[in-house]
Amino acid sequence: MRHGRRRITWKGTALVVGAVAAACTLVTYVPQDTLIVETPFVVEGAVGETLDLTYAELTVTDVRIADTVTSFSEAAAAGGTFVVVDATWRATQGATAFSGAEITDAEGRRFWPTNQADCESIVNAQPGYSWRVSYCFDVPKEALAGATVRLARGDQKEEHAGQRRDAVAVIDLGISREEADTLWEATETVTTEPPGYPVATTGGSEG
Amino acid sequence: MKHARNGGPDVAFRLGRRLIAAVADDMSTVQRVVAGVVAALVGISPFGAWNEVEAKADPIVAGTPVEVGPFEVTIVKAATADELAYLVPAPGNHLLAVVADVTNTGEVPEYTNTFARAIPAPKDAGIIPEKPIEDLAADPSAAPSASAAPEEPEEPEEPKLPTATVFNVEDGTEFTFLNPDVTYRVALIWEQSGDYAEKTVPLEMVELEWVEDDPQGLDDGHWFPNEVIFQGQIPLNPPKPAADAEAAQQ
Repeated sequence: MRHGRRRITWKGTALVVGAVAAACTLVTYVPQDTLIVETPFVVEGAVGETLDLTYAELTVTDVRIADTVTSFSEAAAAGGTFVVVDATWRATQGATAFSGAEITDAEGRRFWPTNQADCESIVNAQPGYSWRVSYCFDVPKEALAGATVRLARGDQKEEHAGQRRDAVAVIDLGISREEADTLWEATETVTTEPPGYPVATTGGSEG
Repeated sequence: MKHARNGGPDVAFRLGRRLIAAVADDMSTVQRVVAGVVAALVGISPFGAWNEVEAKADPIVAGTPVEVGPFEVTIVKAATADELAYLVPAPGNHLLAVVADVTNTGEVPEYTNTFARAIPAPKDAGIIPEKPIEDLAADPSAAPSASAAPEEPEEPEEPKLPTATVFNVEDGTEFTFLNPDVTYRVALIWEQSGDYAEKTVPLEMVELEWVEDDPQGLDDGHWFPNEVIFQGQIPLNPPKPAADAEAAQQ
């Protein structure tokens, strides 16, 4: 048996250099951000459909268009037109603040809801109860056709930072291009109500 | 007989002349001219020769849209009122409203406060400054401490003028953000001294610069109000006894 220092061979050197080069290439060119799951878990649906977001059940019950939204104490006039999204949240795990509400149009532009005239951008709900809310988005005519609403417990500010690794609902508002023209011409006033139990329930029930 | 003299500057001059002579003697006339120009340019560098010339602000013309950051802004007019919605000035003062049409030309909502910072309070127009925080915290009934050492009188700082309160003229409500591609007629409102008697208001608009990474302020992705890019005199309507923001629109 031979003892002593092993010889450094060209073959061994090439192997080590090759391994280091391959590792450097992997680290440099494999996009690291794809290895980290930061994107939300999107649950898609339509108006009238109840969606399960694990922390809550959500139903968009109606979509209305209005030039003006009014409440008991205030009236708000749209610069474009208001898309009033009526929704019902039912928290399933604990008291929850639903802070995310945003419309995205077909071009990817984003629109936030107003807090005027009993319209809400954030709603708090206790678990086990259905809780109704109206979101009012002031949008231009071009945003109507193909618009979707994105609702979640995490807010949409800072590039949806509050919605990372969490469930969000994206609901098609079902407005076609032909309907958009008609809706834009209409001069409707919608009377909104503050968040509360859905009209069909007496409160405290499952909803 | 030689006179005694201070040899320092003379030695430096002679050394410099020899150095220049040694270099220039072997040069052609063209080379000497070029070297002279280069030396002159180097010589004037410490005196701000290469500083960027301060850009002159373009004029603000009522009715003409201009681009400021993510906003297209058209100044409509300036008006005064005794009160607007819930805003009531101190006795003797009134409210100054600069009415403008504004459209967010970006793809995401922008805060109304961002827009308000693009049109700072008019200077030298009697705008009532903000009260410093220390004034609000001070107890006016407290007597000055006798043990306090007399301090050097400090030079008074220029009072900070407030950011405008922005109202939607259409419905007289205050709102917090501007959605993309929706045009709003807004009123930027400040409290103004009743002593201001000019027929115009000096208005400025500042450039809004997008800051993607802000390692110092830890506030990545925001609009930073930079230099004044538009300025002008906006005619001021006579005061109206209107009681709401709608009057500013008329």
